[in-house]
Amino acid sequence: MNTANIEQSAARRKRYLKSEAVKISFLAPAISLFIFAMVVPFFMGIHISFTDWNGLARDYNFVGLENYRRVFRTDDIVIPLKNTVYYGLMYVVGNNVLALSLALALNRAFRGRNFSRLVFFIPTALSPVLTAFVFTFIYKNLFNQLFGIQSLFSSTSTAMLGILIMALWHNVGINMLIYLAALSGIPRELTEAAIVDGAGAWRRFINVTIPLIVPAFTVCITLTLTAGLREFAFPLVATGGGPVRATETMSVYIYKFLFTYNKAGYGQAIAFLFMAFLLIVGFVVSRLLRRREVEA
Amino acid sequence: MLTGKLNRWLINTVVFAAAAVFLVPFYISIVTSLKSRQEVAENVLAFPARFMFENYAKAIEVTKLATSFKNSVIVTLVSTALIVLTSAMAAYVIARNYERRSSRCIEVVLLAALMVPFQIIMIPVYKLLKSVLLLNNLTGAILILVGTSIPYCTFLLIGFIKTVPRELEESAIIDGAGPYRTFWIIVFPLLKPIVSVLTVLYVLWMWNDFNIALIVLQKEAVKTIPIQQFYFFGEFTIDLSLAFASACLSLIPIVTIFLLAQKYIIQGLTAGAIKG
Repeated sequence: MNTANIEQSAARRKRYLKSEAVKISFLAPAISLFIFAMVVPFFMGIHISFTDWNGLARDYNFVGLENYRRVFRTDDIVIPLKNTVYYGLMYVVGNNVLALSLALALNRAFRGRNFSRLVFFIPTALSPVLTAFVFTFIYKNLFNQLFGIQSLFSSTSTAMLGILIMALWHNVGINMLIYLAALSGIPRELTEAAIVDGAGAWRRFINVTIPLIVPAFTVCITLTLTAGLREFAFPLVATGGGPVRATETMSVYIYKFLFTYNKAGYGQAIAFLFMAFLLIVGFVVSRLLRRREVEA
Repeated sequence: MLTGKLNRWLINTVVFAAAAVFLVPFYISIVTSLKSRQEVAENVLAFPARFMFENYAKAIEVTKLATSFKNSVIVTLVSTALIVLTSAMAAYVIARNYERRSSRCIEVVLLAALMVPFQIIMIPVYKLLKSVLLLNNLTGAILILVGTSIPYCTFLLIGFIKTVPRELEESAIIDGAGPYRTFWIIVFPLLKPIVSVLTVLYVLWMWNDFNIALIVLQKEAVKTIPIQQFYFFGEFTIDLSLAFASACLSLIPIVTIFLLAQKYIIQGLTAGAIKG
């Protein structure tokens, strides 16, 4: 009887181990790829940020917190930081105002509705490189022909506006779709009740529509803010950060430390401080917006 | 009543005008690609006097489109397949053992990874691939693209799998099917709604990837289309009609997929938002 018991528990143990092995085999491909592409680089990054590695050489020295200390001692970083914050705010406001306006205009039945929706949304299919190329051409040649002005990228005061316009054209469709989905979820009765109560279009918008789509605001504002603060491809391709650093965002700045200035260690330290900055901003903003959701 | 009609008419006009403005870049790309060099200089908006289709033949040659096109197709297809299949397998185990602490632990790590901006791993990825001799190598690029895409893809799949009833799998196991067979024959087909959405989205994102390819694929033989164009547009801005011809050619496959799979793309992009 005793031996039977032992045999039984051994069999159970074997079955358990086998089912665990099966589970691990399901997880292994995804987890190992994830570790290779993100976890290992993340920890390598921590290590690099404590060294003076130049991005090419085999050997480098451990410098401790020196890189981090230097970030706070120089005012070179002020320009990209200013650019990033300025662009991020303009992008959030521009994208959400435009996306919500388009969504409101499209949230009715009319001929050409589906076609218009597609038109506002299809630029997302283009790569940032192509978008930047086409817009650089438009600014340079079409704007000159139509309005007789120089390219937006030729002046430090308008270059960021040029980046903003192409980014809005490329991305506004995504938020428009999110707002459109939220708007179509508003029950008809509520709008009708407001009309019966004599509320005009503007009052209906402020008192009925807005409170009901706060969840969409949370998603769209958080997404556009973090995307805007990370902006990389458009300025890099269109202007390379110029003219005179006018469009140099933090992401472009970090990229330059590896491939232009050969100061990978220092660039990596900036990258970590930048991540901390993004996390704090993202956390605060989504906290503020979520609180509004509960109240509404 | 009359003002209502007028209002509606006014809004429609504004919408159509905005749509026309949104189409201008496409119009300019196509028209410019068919013009002679002189026509481009004369008038940007005008129609070409004669369609110069030979621009396209020349563009394919000058921009080495065949190589970059092949690279882009390989990277896009292999990455998308790996992302969706490996994520589905992992998400299945995590979702079906959700009561375990280890499952939720993995999910939290994946969520945290979504917060890490690309700039953090940009420099290390370069160093890592260099040290394992996968820099300027399509395999290296694919590994990084897949690994960085897995967190979001797995996260979405976990949420979906939780809503799929277990009965079918349980009866398959009782019928004697092994775990792998059960997953691929029974469970995976049930995931079709979300898998098709994810496949289309990742095809789009992989085809247009710029950040990772920029760091990892810098040699002529391995450049994908965005990288090839990044360097080409920088070098040869003199012959604009050729650049635009190459641009239009590279657009054809992705815009076709976009038009055909519109429904899935819209679903994918709004999925997370509606629930709120």
